[in-house]
Amino acid sequence: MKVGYLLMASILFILWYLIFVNKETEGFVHAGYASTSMLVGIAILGAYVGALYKPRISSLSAIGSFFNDRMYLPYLNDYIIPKIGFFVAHLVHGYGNRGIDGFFNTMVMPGLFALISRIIRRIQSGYLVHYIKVVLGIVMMILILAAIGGVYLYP
Amino acid sequence: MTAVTLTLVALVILVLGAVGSFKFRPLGFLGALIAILIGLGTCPFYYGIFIFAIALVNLLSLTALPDMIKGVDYSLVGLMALATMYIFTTHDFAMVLVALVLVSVPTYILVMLRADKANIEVGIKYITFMVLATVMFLIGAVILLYAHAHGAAAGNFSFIYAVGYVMLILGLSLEVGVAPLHEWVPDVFTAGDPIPISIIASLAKVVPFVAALWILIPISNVITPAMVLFTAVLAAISMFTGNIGALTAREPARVLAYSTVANMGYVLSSFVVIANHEYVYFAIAGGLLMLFANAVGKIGFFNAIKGEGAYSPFMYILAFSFIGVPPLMGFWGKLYILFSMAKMEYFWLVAIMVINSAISIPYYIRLAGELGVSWRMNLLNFICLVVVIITLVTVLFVPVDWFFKNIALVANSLGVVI
Repeated sequence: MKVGYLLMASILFILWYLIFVNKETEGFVHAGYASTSMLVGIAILGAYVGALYKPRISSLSAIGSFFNDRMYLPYLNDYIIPKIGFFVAHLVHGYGNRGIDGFFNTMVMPGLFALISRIIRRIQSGYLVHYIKVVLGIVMMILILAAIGGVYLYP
Repeated sequence: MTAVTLTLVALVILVLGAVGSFKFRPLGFLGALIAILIGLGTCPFYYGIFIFAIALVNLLSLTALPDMIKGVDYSLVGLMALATMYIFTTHDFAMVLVALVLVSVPTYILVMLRADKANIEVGIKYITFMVLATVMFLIGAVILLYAHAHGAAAGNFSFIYAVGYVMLILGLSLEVGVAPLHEWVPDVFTAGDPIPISIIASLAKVVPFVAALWILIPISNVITPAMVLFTAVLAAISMFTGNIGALTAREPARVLAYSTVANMGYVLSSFVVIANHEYVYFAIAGGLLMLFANAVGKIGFFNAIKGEGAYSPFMYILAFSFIGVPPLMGFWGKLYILFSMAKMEYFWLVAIMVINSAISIPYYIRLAGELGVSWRMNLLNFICLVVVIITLVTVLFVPVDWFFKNIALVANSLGVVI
């Protein structure tokens, strides 16, 4: 474990070196040197160094062992992280997929099309009088609009 | 011999055949066949071949009906075919309107034909709307020409032009079944005998569109682009009404009725080119191919309804053509129409047409599945085979530039010089 932390921290130094020495990354240095990015980098480095030393207090070792060996890491790995994953998967599957599927394939859009289709077909009452009223109404309305439009376009 | 003389000779033969058919029914068929063969010499070749093929299949399918009016039914189809061929020959405004009436009036009688007795209820419903449609078309055409003669091209008489344009388009819409004036279509298609309905859904649809183009293209003016927008909106309404209406329709004839409403919307959308003659070739080629694809498809499906099913692969080929699967005929029709609309920068209408083609897929496939049966040797299956062969013409002779080039002649007869 210590070797692993050591290697990771060393890579940070290598990256730091490359960023400051390379010509290509000069822009990054100028843009971020005075900003919080340096502080973030130092904080990460500090965390790694702290992790390498891992200060231990003997009177609290029982609690440390309890969390470290028995509860904390197994619980984190076996319960909390999978639960988060399951929750995200549930969101995507339950609401995302089902929502998209329901909207486009099974419920909303097909239902909407079926409703509009029935409305379109409801006009077909079979009575000639009804059809004549509909057709003449539409024709008269469009002719009036056309007449107004004709006057408006080029009076 | 001139086209007029040929047409007159064909008409005489047609009348003789009709008279002779009272003694011997096949004489009516023979007279009609000879008349449309003569009529072939009066119009652009490929256009004429398509009309000839459609009319021939219509004549053949009529033999499945009993001889209620002897062989006069053949003569009526022959008359419609002759008028459809002749409209591309004439430059006379009055003759265009005569052709329109000659195609419309025979269907008044045909629609009432059925096995036992005259279908009066369907006849009344159909004739009422057709008379209204023809009157509106004629009045619209006359008003348009009046406005044109009095300087509509310079922006004068725009009010008269707008009213005439709208009346003509509404008359056309009522005649062919464009929504929202489509109310007669589902009732007549469902209640009528499938054979005469297949004629009304095929041969009778060409002339109204061509006549409208013949009148509108040469007299387009400064306010035409604004009026074309009205046509585009009407076409879009018809596409949605037809395709969505067909989704929940149960009876095959009713599905085909709504399919007709949608297809007439596709063809009407090609009218956007009348504001700019540069792309008129594409629009006319697309519109005619769409009408031919619609005609052969409807003949096939209605004959399948009459025969209680037809050979399943035939049904699926016709359905794919309607959907617009390349390289079947329906695809080329839609392609040319889409191309002309895109060139005219009617991108929203392009999107609507593509969306509607997608909406139509389920009901065409369902229809093909319902009407598809195993192979049987009978006349109606043979007719379905013929219409499938016509549909496959564009597969056998790809690309279809031969038809497109032939359209130059058509456009010239419409008074369009590019």
